[in-house]
Amino acid sequence: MKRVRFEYITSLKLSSPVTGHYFSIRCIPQSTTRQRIESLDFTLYPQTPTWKNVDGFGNEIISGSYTFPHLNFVFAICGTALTDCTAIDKTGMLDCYRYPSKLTEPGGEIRAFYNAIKEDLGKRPYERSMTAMERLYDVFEYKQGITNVKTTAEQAFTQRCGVCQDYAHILLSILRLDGIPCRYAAGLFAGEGETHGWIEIYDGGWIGIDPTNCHRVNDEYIRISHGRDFADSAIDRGVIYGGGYQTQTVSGFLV
Amino acid sequence: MNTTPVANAREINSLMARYGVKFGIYKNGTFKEQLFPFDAIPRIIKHEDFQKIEKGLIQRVDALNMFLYDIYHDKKIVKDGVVPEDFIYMSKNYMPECEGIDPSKKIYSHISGIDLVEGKDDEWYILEDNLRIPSGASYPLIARELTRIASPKTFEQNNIVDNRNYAQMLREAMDYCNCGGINAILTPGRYNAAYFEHSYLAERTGAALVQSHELFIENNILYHRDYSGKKNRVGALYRRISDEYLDPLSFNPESLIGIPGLMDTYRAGNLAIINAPGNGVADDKGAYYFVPKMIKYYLNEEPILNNAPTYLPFYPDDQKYVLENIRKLVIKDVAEAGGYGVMFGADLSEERLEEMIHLIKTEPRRWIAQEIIDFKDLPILEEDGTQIMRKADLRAFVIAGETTKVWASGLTRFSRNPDSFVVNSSQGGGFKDTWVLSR
Repeated sequence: MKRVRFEYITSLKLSSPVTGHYFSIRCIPQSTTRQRIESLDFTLYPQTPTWKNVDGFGNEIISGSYTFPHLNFVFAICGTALTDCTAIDKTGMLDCYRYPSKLTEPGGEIRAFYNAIKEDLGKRPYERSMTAMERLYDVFEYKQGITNVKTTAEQAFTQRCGVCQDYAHILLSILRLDGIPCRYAAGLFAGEGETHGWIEIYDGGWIGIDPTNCHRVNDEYIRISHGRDFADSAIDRGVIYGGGYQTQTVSGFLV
Repeated sequence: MNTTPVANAREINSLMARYGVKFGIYKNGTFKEQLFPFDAIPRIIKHEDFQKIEKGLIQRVDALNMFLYDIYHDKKIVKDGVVPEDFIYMSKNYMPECEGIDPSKKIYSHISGIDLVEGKDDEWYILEDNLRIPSGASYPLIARELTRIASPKTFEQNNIVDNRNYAQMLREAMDYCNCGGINAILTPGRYNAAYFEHSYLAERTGAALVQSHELFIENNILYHRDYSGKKNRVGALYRRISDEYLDPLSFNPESLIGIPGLMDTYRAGNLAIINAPGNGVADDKGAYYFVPKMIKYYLNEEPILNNAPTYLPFYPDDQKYVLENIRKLVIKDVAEAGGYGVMFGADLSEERLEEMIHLIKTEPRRWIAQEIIDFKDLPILEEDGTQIMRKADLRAFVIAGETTKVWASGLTRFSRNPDSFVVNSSQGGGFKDTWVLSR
């Protein structure tokens, strides 16, 4: 058990003032047995009326729009939580977590890899998942700039390199072939930087595993959103009509 | 059977051209509008035949609506092993974004277009359920209206059920599920295949005909800004754009014809979306096989109308049968719609047949196979006054509001090609009026 402090900020700069702007953000971490949210502040700039919903996966969504011209869009959260990665959380299980989604659809490469390792993964879903993660870690290299948010698990695996979200997608794809329910988790982990992506498998309750770092999720992780894959879990979704180019910066930390 | 053409058919076709009764198709990447040719010989359905069809369709649509509610909530039918979960979650039409949403009055399919054929054995068979904004009702509606103008005697001399109540049925269904505010019909615009229908139905139901740029969401409520700048709340949206483009914040982020945040409004219970998003999981070709089972499961009734005999290669016994009898079956790709992905075993080259057998073995979930229903030909009137026989189907429209009702008419479509069993307006062909006799 650990008490952590976290902060997350997304800032969007627009090259010319925009009036048609709608946003839908999933930045409010869910309070569960494994991460009890003790305090949370949400900031939005410029201010505008917002409304809340919960999506099909259980994420809280904050939506709103701007009808006045603006050049910046910033939202941030900061808070504290009591984390306990050993606690049991059985909430939010959906059957679709056992089936491929658009970004995790296995192709020939992933199937071949799975067929080669499936015999000696172990018994329980947790054990099988950890072994599969280690096998993946052995053959996959962390490399930035090769993949993007639309890259599928199969595409990334074919190149044998990518970033945290690719590790997560590939492992999800493999574990779903194995019949293990699993989902994508987006959030923060120890240290400073951008957001991180890992996965959660269901074996009597949700267990987090981080394929990029090849270990089980410990008490220094805060999950902000989740879904079948990255697309479902996007922390920030927005539509901007007109306007010029945008520059976006994302940063977060957890201590 | 009556094969007497209604009088003044030529005049009716020219009236339809003047009224702009058109059907748009995309061919080789370009959009063309063409007239949807009207054939003057009506299809006639006897009173007692229609009574049976009506009962069967109401039963079917009620079961399908219950199935959709179940799939996006408790999934009892899956847990009880009636529908294998593969057919839900492997379907790209299942939408987890719709999980747990309670649509107004629990109705998912407000307007269902059920395609039937009449076999040579005089039985009606269901070919396909269309629960995702099916189109076509406006064509027989306007054809009848024009026929009344061109040939008023026809309706004095025959006992034909008046079909002009479609707009009223639609309006009642919209009013019933309306969550507060106006009814609106959302069209992608005039370059859509069914734009004529969108505008016609809006005019007839008194709903506002709107495009997405006139709509916006504030505090989880959908509003329409009309031409005078006045802001009106929308309580029921009969949207004629597909799920994928409905809301760029939930679905395809590149959609320019959607409304950002619409799904939130819907989920919050502030808007009825007609038809509900996510219906594809109940009307794809894989789900079709299970509809008779749904009727038994949810209603504890025997199906009144039959499916065409269908096999799922997913089940080993069925797969064996399909592979042994592939030459006499029609094979359909579950993922395709609109008459595409339909293959007749008898027409396949040796090479293509081998390929199909391989695909059925390796991707069994992707296919269904059906016995070919030898359905009745209907007479079509040629320019020179002679009659030729062509395959025809019937799209019946079922409207679910406070009660479920079947429109006593429908769209009878015929194929242009004499050898074709594929009757679909996206692939050419024409239509007839459908008369239901009142006694």
